[in-house]
Formats: sequence, structure tokens, C-alpha cells
Amino acid sequence: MSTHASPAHVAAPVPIRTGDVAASGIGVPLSLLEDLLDRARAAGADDADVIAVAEASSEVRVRRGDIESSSRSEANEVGLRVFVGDRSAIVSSNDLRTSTLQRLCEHAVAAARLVDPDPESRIARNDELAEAPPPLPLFDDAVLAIASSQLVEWARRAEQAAQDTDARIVNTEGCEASAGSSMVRYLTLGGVLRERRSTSTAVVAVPIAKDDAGMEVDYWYGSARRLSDLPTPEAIGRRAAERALRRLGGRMLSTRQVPVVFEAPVASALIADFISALSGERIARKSSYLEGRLGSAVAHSSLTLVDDPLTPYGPGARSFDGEGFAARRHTLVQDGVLVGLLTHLRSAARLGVAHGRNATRGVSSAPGVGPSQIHVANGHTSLQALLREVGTCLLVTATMGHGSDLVRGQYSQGASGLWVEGGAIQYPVHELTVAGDLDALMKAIVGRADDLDPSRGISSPSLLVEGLVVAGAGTP
Amino acid sequence: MKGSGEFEGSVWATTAAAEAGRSVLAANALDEGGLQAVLAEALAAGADWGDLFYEAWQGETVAVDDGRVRSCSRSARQGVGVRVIAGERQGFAHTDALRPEPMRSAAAAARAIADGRSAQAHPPLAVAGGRGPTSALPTPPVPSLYAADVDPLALPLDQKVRALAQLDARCRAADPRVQQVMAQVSASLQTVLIVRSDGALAWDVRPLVRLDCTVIARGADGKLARGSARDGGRRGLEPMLEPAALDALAAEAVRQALVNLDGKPVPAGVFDVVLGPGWPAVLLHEAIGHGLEGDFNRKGTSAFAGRLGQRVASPLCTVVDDGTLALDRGALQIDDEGTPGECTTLIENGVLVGYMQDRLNASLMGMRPTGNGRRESYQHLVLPRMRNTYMRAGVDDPKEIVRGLKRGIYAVDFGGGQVDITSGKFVFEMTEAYLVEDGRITAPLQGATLIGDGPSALERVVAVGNDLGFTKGQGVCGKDGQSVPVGVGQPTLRINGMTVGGSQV
Repeated sequence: MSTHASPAHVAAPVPIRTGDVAASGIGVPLSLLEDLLDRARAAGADDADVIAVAEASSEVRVRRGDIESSSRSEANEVGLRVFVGDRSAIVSSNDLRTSTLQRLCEHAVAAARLVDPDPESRIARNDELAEAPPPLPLFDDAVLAIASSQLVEWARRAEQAAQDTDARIVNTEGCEASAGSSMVRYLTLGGVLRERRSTSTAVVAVPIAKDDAGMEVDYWYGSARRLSDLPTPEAIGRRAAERALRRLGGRMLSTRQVPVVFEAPVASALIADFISALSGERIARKSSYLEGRLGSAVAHSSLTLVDDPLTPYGPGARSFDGEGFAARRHTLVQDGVLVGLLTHLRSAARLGVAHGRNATRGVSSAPGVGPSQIHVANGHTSLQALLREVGTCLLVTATMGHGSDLVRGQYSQGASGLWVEGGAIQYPVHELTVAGDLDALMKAIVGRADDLDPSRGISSPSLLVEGLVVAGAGTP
Repeated sequence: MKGSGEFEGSVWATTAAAEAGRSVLAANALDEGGLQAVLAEALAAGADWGDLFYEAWQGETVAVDDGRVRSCSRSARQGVGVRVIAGERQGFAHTDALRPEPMRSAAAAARAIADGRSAQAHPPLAVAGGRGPTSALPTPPVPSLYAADVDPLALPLDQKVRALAQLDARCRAADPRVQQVMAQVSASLQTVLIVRSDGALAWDVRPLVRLDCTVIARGADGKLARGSARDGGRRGLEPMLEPAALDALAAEAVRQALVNLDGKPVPAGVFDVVLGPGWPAVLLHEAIGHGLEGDFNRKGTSAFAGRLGQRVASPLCTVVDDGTLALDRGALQIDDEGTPGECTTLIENGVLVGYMQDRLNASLMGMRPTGNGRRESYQHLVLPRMRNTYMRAGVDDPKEIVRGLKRGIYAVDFGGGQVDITSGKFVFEMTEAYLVEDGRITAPLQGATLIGDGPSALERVVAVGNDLGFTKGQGVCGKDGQSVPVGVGQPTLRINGMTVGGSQV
């Protein structure tokens, strides 16, 4: 279950924090990680690794010109994984006192002895980690210097710009601005250390438009690792207002089969869904419709997907993956053919495929897999030109629901958007569903616009898909 | 913000909760008096309201997949969140360092919100002293809604490991088409202390357990299908891990996966829909629940804003949000602001009669708090949130409701849902459903998303069954990036004219 009321919070990046904290080098000290590993070994662990995450952030929410909330957050947490032979267990805590950490180590070793052996699970060996992570800037001192009064001003300006766009912007859910930093440290019992510092700042606007027919909310946000990459609050506020305004006066459509253009943000969510089906973990556990499809066509021949962790200041960039491997580019789909899966050590071993260095790691769970940054290449035509070319279609500007059924390979989502006829936008439409077979859908992506937003981690330009089924309660 | 007058002095959820909590504090060289002093510092510049939320949380998760019980994780977090309210403004800061200096620093950061308004008349609010813990604790104001004396983390890990292995084996033995079993048992214990500027102190110790089982089956055509089943609540794990309980859970997950293997493509269009009892009430949570939370109505951003006293549903519908269902996942003896749990009526015979409120929104709207002030953890601000939202039983025979369907869909299990509060549009996702023709169930259907309009959906309820059922321990509600456990419930009901996101024209 979920609510769509403040999509801002869903969309915004992890609120990491500024800091006085990160800047002054506080966080989880390296000596504590070393101590934790020593304790794990003394407790009986054959191998172990530890990850520490320190985050600090400030966030301000403004509504109708006044501050609604001003929050300051700081958090430090460690996660320890221990192996006893082929068996492993994880413990995590934000209570870093020695007595607590000692108890955790003992608990982890005791727990590991009780679970089943899992021979493919292991920590990377020192020789595998010999390649040093490439230098990759993700940190900007200018973000650390952002004062909360600055955040208030940005949020106010974004809200004002939204209100100034049109008299029908009558209310808002608020506008937010945040700035933060984080530090991740990873250390193996073998002594390999990885460290990453990053910053992030964001402005989110959530205006509400109203006319005689009803109320509509929409949102827009800008986020960046570097202050100089952040769009102006005015640009964010105006874009959000335009998105809310164009929803006003939505009509129903009758049920039909039509070409559908997914506007860039919606197309990005579709691509993100598809990428989830490429998880080596998911495929190893036989719960993806793409199981056994390596080497075969899984998307339109114009589509190529490359996981690229190496863009300086990139939203999804990472210099090393969750198992400590130096990051590198990894091609998943080449000209529509599935050539690689998202894998970590365990899933690559289970499947007998190339190791993709796609591990993710949180403090309280074993490594998983996930993409870093994937950008679908732009097409050669503007969205307007693409719509003109298609003539009659549904331009989907927002979807609701939890995405696709990746086991069955079925796409079915609530949707709203704009009805296009004669190559031009005619009127907004709402309370629709869009559905189709996901495999067929991916192969029917026959057109791309040139409106990719490079500031998002998984990002696609608007995509044209033929032959989807749109259902609605309108009369034909 | 004015006090509601409900609290005079100290409030205790139960004496046992307070004792357990105090020992957690003592382990950190803390006591209630020290936390009151931190709050007093936060309120030094004056405020309408302030509170301090101390939380200690511990959880353990064990999972089986690929036939191996292999993912075992235990986590602990603790910290303090300090909040100061001045008018509509909230200052908030939290820290995981339970030492005087970081806590004072958090208090100062929260206070800054009131500092900025020093020109305005908000007299300093002293924390009532001397009303803290004494040897004579007041009688608990509410009965215990959670399984008494249960520490769900106390169950030895090997028992969980054994149960998961049995569950895996039972699912695989049930049918050769079962390809994969993923099951997980999780247990947690949350200890909270709320220290308020009106002098009240409230403790609560909340157990929460859950057992999930998902089965993937493969048909002769190579297609995959999924089935799932779960159990849980604010109680102990042992009864859920009994052999008979595991048998029942495995049988249900396998049954649903096999039904879905035969699922036919879903027709697209507008259909009359019969929803089964229990979890399908995710409809209520999305269609009307979120829209009746106090914050959206105070700000006028909900499609239900300003509609108190108006008809918003068929007269057959009475909907409540209840924090007092014993052992339920949504049960709350007190909310995260110390307001006692209650059963709040939202819609009575089709008429909107109440909103769900935390203290801030209740105060600003001139209403009373309803025990819906919740937060994911000490790191999050309080929001008005649901507990267990359900529709009261009607009089119809559920079989007759299905028989009355000329051509439509009978949906008995769902995934999740989502709502746009402002436009009122909501979706929810069927995971077990059937085509009904001339009153007879004729074929299972694949999953699909349904979309509707919240403010009008319940107007189209034409039949309400006599078989009120509740979800079995599932339900996670997300709002503003915060997740909290919730329950839902409803009897079998029929709604006319829902749009079904099928792939067949």
C-alpha cells in the first residue's frame, strides 16, 4: 500500500546530510570497523566484512510561504556479515558501544552456525579486489556549505514560481529543499578497505491546480550531487505547476487498442521495471519471465542498455560495488538482445555467467544486485515531432501502481495523460489503465524522443510503444 | 496548540511496558528525568507544544529461498527525536547518540523553529517537573492489546530455521509444478517512550511478527505463476510455526499459484466487481482511507476536504479505523504522541463523520486527536496514519452476492494499491481473481490493476456481505517516505463499474 499524495518524498534522493558532521570527518571511525572484525574472528568467524554508513542532512518544507517543518538528521550505522564455513549471518546496529558490538559479534557467529550452508555465498578474495576503484568525484564542498536559511529561500522561491505560473494554482502540498552528505566505508577481514563520500541536494515542488471540474496535484524535482548542477527553484516550481495544470479537466476514454507514448519520467519507470527482471538473483531463483533468455531478443532492436557507474557526479554513480569490486561498465541489452545480467558473486556463481560487479549492500542485509546508472540513448526527434509522426495515440504522463508482474511478465498500470489526435495534444484523460504482455511491449518500442533527463539514475527519453490496451469508463 | 484535556499528568500504557523500557534506558545510563531535561531545553525559546520520542527497536529476519535457509539478519536501532511546534511550524531533529551533548544539540536544532518567531507571543512552556516516574504508577488506562509478556525475539533461531525448512519442504511436496519457495519469518520489538510538554510520559512496548510464503509454479507451457500466503500480528511466533499452521500456509500458497497457472488473460474495460473478505479491503485503505487523514483535509488538498456530514458512500457502508483490535497488526495501545488507541468511525451509513487525527492537525482543525499520530521511527516526524481500517458487516449472503453477478469479476486476493489524494483516483492490484458469468465462476484470471475514483467508488457499493474478515498480518502503508504496519478488513462486497486494466480488448 502506498499513497501518492506527496510523491516528492518518493522521488527525492536519500536525504543525506550536510555536514558539519561529514566535513569534520566524524562518522564511524575506521578503528571501530577493525575492532568489529577482530571481535568477529575471536568469536569464531572464518571470514567477515563490515559496512558503515554515516549520513547527515537538513531538510526544510515550506507551505504557503511559511516554514512547515525544519528537520536535521544524522545517523551512523554498521552492518557485519560473518561466515562460519559456508554459512553466514548478518547483524547491524546504530548503537556503537563496545559492549553492544561484542554481543552482536557473538550473536552473528551463533546464528551463522544454525543456518544452511550456501557454498556460492562468499566474500571477495584480496586478489579479486586488487584492482583499485577509479577516482570518481561525487562530493561537493559547496553542498556542505548550504545553510538551512538557504534551503528555506529555495523552497519559497519554488513555491512562488509555481503560484505565479497561473491563477489556477490555488494550493500546494508544500515545497521542500534538502542538502546532505554520506560516507560509506567497507572493510573485509582480508584488510581491503573501500570508502566513498558523496553529497546531494534537491528541491521539490508539489503544487495543486484547481478549476470548476476539480483539483489536480503534480510534482517536479531537481536533484544533484553538485550545487552548480541544481536547476533553479523557479524552473522546478514552474515545471511542477505546468504538470498539475495540464491535468485539469480530464476526460474518460473508452477501452481501445492504441499506440502509447510514455513520457520520459514514465518511460524511465518502465525501463527500471524491466531492469529488475534482469536481476541475476531473481533469475537464479526462477522468478523472472526472462529466465533462460540470455542471448535472445528481449527488446526492440533499437534498444541498448548499459549499466554505467562511472559518470562523475552521476546520480547513480559508484566507484565500487557492494562487494568492493572496482566499478566498470556492464552491457545488459545490446541492440535488443540480452547479453548480460545484473549479478554479484553469488548469483554469477549460481547461474554460471560472467560477474557483472552489480552488488548492492545495505547495513542490515546480505549483498543484493541492482543497477547503478542506466541511460537509454536519445532518439533523433523531439517529443512533439514524435507525436506528429504517430498522429493518434495516448501520451501517458503519469502511472499509478506497483509496476509490472515480473514473474508472469505482465504490465498493468493505472494511468493518466493526454489524448493526441492529428499529431497534436487534444485534451487530458484520466482514470485509465494501460496493459500488455511485458515481453511484447519491450519489443514494440518503435520510437524514441530526444528528451532524456541526465540528472536521473535510471533514465529514458519518451518511448513510443505500439499496440497496448487502454481501458477506461468513457463511452466510445 | 491547546492540550485536549485528555491527559492530566503521567500516562502509562502498562506498568510492564514502562519497566521494560526503563531497563533499556538504564542500559544507556539514561532515565526519564534526563529526557525531560532535554525536552525542557528544546522548549526554552517558547513553543505551543513539544515532545521527545525515545525508541529502541530490535528485529530479526530469517528467510529460505532456493531450498536453503540462508538469510539471517538481526538489527538494532535506538535514538531520540525532539520536536517543537510553534503554530503550524515544526522543528525536528534526531540523534542516535544517547549522550547529553548530542541530545542537547538536537534539542537546540529543534528549538530553532521557535527562535525564528521570538517576536510572537509564545510563552515558554515549562515541562512539568515532579510528575515523572514515582514508585506508585497509575493504573494502566487501557487493556493490553498485544500478546501479554511476549518477546518475539526470544524464540530460539533454530526453531525458526526448522520451521522454514519444513515450510519449504511442504510446498515442494504439494505439487511437482512448484519450482521455487521463498519464505520469511520476521519478528521485532519496539520500545517507545513519549515525553510531552504537558508533563505526560507514556511508554509502549510493541511486538510485531510476520510469516510470508511465496510459491512460484511452472506450467506445461513454461509460463510461471505466483501464489502467496501470510500470517502475523502483534503476538508471539510460536503458534504460527506449529506444524498444522505451516501445513495450512503452504497449502494456501500452493493452491493460489496453481490457480494462477491456469489464469486466463484479463478482459479490459468496465466491470461490476465482487471483492472477497479480508485483504481486498486494501480498496478502503486507498479509496477513502488516505483521503480522510487529517493533514490533507486541514490543507484542503484531499478530495474529501470540507465534506464532513455529507454522503460519500452507499448507505450500506460503515467504515472505521480501529487501533483496538487485540493482537492485530494495526493495534496501538497508544499512538506515537501518547494518545490512547480507539475505534474511530469515519463513515456511518454512507455519511462522512470523522477524520483521522494526530495532535497537530487536530488542534489546527479544532478537533480531537484520535490516536492516529504515527511515525516510522525516532528519525521521522509524526503524521496522521491509519491503523486497521475496515468496513462493518452487512446482511447479505456472500454466495448470493457472487450469484447476483451477471458478467463480472470476483477478486479474492490483492497485491498493493496507491492513491492520488487530490484527484481521488486510486488503483489496486488483483493477484487472485475469477471471471463470473451468469452468476457462476467460469475461469481464473491473471493479475491486473483496477482503477477507480475514491469519492465515488463507495457510492457504487450495491451489496455488503455478513462475513467481515481481516487481513492476516500483512499491510505496510507508505506515506511521505515513511512505512508503518497497518491492517484492513471488510466483508464480501460488490462494487459496480470498476475499470479493469486487462490486456484483452
